[in-house]
Amino acid sequence: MNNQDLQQQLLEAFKTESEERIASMFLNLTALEKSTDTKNRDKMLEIVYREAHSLKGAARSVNIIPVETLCQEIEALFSKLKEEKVTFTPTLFDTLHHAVGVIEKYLSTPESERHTVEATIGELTDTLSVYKQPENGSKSPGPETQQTNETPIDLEQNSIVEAPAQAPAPAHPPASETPEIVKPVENAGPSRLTKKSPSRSWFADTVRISTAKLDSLLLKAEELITLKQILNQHLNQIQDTRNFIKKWKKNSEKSKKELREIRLQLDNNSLLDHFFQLYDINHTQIEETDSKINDLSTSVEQSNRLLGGMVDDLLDEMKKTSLLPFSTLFSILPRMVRDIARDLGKDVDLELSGGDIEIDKRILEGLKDPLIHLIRNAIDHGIEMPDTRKLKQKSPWGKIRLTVSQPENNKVEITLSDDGKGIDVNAIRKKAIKSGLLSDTQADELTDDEAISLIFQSGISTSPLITEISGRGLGMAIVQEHVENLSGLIFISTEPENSTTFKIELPVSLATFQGIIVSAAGHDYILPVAHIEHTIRIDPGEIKTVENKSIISINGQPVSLIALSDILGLPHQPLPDIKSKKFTLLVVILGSGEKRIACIVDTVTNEQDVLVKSLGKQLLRIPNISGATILGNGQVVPILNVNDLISTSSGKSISLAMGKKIDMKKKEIQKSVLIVEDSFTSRTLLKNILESSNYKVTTAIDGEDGFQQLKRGNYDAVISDIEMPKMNGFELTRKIRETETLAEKPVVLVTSLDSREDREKGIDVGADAYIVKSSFDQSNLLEVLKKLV
Amino acid sequence: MTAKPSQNDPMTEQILKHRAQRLAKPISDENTYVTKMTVVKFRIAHEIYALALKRIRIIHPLKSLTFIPGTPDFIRGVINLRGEIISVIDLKVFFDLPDQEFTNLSQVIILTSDKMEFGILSDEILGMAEISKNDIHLSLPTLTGIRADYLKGVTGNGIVVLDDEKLLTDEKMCINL
Repeated sequence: MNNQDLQQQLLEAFKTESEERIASMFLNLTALEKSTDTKNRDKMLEIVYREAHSLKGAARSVNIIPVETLCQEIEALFSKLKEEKVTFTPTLFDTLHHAVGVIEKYLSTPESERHTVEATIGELTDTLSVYKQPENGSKSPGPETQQTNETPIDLEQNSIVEAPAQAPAPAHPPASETPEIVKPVENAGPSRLTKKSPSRSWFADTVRISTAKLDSLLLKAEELITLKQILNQHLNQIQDTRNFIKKWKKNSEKSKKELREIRLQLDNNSLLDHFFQLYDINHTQIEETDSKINDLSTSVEQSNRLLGGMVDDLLDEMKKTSLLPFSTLFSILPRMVRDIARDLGKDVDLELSGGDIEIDKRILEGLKDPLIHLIRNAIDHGIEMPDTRKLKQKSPWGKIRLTVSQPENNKVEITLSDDGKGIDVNAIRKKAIKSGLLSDTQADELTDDEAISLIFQSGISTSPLITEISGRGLGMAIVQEHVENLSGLIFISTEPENSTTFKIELPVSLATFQGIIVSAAGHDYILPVAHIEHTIRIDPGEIKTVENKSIISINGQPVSLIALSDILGLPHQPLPDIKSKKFTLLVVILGSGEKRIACIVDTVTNEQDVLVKSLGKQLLRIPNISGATILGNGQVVPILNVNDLISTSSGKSISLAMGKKIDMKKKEIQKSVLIVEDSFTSRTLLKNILESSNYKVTTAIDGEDGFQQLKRGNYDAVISDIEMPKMNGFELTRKIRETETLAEKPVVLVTSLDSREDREKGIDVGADAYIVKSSFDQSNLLEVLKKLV
Repeated sequence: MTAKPSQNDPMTEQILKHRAQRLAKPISDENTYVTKMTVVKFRIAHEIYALALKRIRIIHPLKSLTFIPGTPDFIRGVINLRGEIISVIDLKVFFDLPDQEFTNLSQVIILTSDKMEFGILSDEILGMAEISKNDIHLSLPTLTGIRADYLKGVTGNGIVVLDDEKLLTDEKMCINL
């Protein structure tokens, strides 16, 4: 377990942060001391106050308690200063400077020797707390009563003068100067200290640049790709010209030969001689042109290669600067895993490897949510309870392994596996049938692999209970969408009772992606390869019509067929006559997340690297179009947004079935919900939330009341509190399940009880969802409810 | 008027700063160019238009235009301006004017500001001119309709002077669907 490494990384991050905060505190403290303008003073005071507050928080998160305590005191003092309950005095400033200096010193001292500084911190904490006392007559509290501190404070002043001189410089002063700050503090410390200060390592060997600047540099470098492509195009043109001239030369030589023969036949025609002269001159010029264009072609080719190489190198280096190691993402995981596991009463060991592999910052950011979701799933659904694990003769500690590897230069592979109970393929089949996704026979026909990949469809979850962590079945669809948006692919495999493994393949860099050019109604468009399942030719006879929609069957599954020109609203192109058998249609199967459509296009050309550009300042967002690219010949080609295409295409079919839709909407409005809740406030809150979302709401004041109402009225769902007088939520749920007419009614338990036992009890009595009030927000409840009714 | 104010006096500094800011305001048409403004004259169909020079980034011959589906009709497409993609508009369509078929759009006038940039298609560039502000008349009966909102007025010899700021800041110009 590289827990220690992670701790180390966190500390590194804290170092950089504290370094900056300390510098800012020094700077502003000094300015504050000098300033006479009250307005400015307030501003600076606010800055120092916030810095102290942030540093406190940061110190707490890496568990450096002495710093946290001291910052707490400094912060409190500043808060008093802000409220003007304490006034500024020179000694007060001295103490504050000293305090900041001591924090800096403490942090730059090796961990093993820190205890020597701790005494100073303790004393300072006391001094500061004296300052903090409300002014009870005494205008200058503190130092006088704290004689022992006088000396260190005075000595400290040496460093105060220097520190501000350092502070305005960028966050990383040269290492050689740092001892000057540290040394006086060293002398000042009441305890004896070893001379060796690790200040060199304290200041990192890096520069911080705003990501915006870096991004714009990267974009500029990417623009050069277009230039490269244009030059290539020019080179082709030159070569074409060269070939043309070569042919010309050849023809000219041939004619020359023929002409000579003619001359031999007709002797002594001076007029003809003159013509020959002219012809010779002409031919020589062709030859010269030929040699010139040869030279030009060669040199352009060379420059082209040189430029191409340089552009590629530059872009490569630029891309590297925007790469971040996976460890930056890893650092948040152990704690998250621990918290979730503890919350669920499980023991989980997280094993991370490959943290040093680097990937585009944008990809790493986009990967965070899906990865967290997968890990939560693994803990919640995969890993069993310790007791169960023991029964299965597994180690009581579940294991989650997250491995990052780089099988190819520009490809990263992430493997997340757990040694839990695996995925029950048959449960997925059942769920898919229940949700109407598949018919019984279809479900039987699916291979296990195909069935497992159904979990990427929304609405499929094998968890019997909905909690705030998982079970809503939306997650995996979203995970897949996120990964695909990053031009990645996700795979899943499972061994029942043994393991579940997710594999995610991602490009290292986002700048360019693979796309193909398709054409529709005479216009070219680019489709990202990541969203193309395959391209096929179909016989028009294969097209079936269902409810005014064209459908073709792909691997036994119906996929709706639509012409790209129709989705984009281009001039209508009717489907060709089914009778003309010879004609075939070119169809691209597009997929995004779980949704698929078959798209008719006119032509498809080969894959190529596509550099995404924006459509300019005027066209901020256009449906179906995510941007454009410039081809080597300068042509602008729009890039299609497959997500949009799919929803636009389904929107079109909805418009056909409009009447039906409206009916359904009316029905939706009439969904009625019974709220069982003893607290008036909670009841009103819930009622308001649901009513504003078009539910018809009835309320009951306790379980018994609720049960009576349920028997009388017809409700689509019950939302119940747990702790209530007369009959609590568990009993109510049990009674509902026991009553034949009510047994299928969805029950959502909303409670402040966040314990595993209760959650399990919730499952036992047959609740459909369990939402904890502390993590309770509207969307959570509404989402759950929408899914259930 | 007696003692020189101290250099460090914050009040003085503040006053000076304010004054500097006030004076540093960008020159606006109304105040300074009371008499004349430099414009680029161009032709669309049978009409001569003029645009003030200061918002024009470049004038570029129209080579190829890529149609973007899903955009309003007045957006004729996008062009590649030295590796940058810029949308171009057809004023005839935007103003909903007749005789659109008489246009032979061959030049693009790129208008630009911090937040907006687009090209205006024109048939022919007629060169630059100085237009006297007094010569721009506002109320001409021919200038009713949508177009009136985007005009500064019409000159005595019939040149339609477009309001570049209005065009650049108009909500209808910003396509966010």
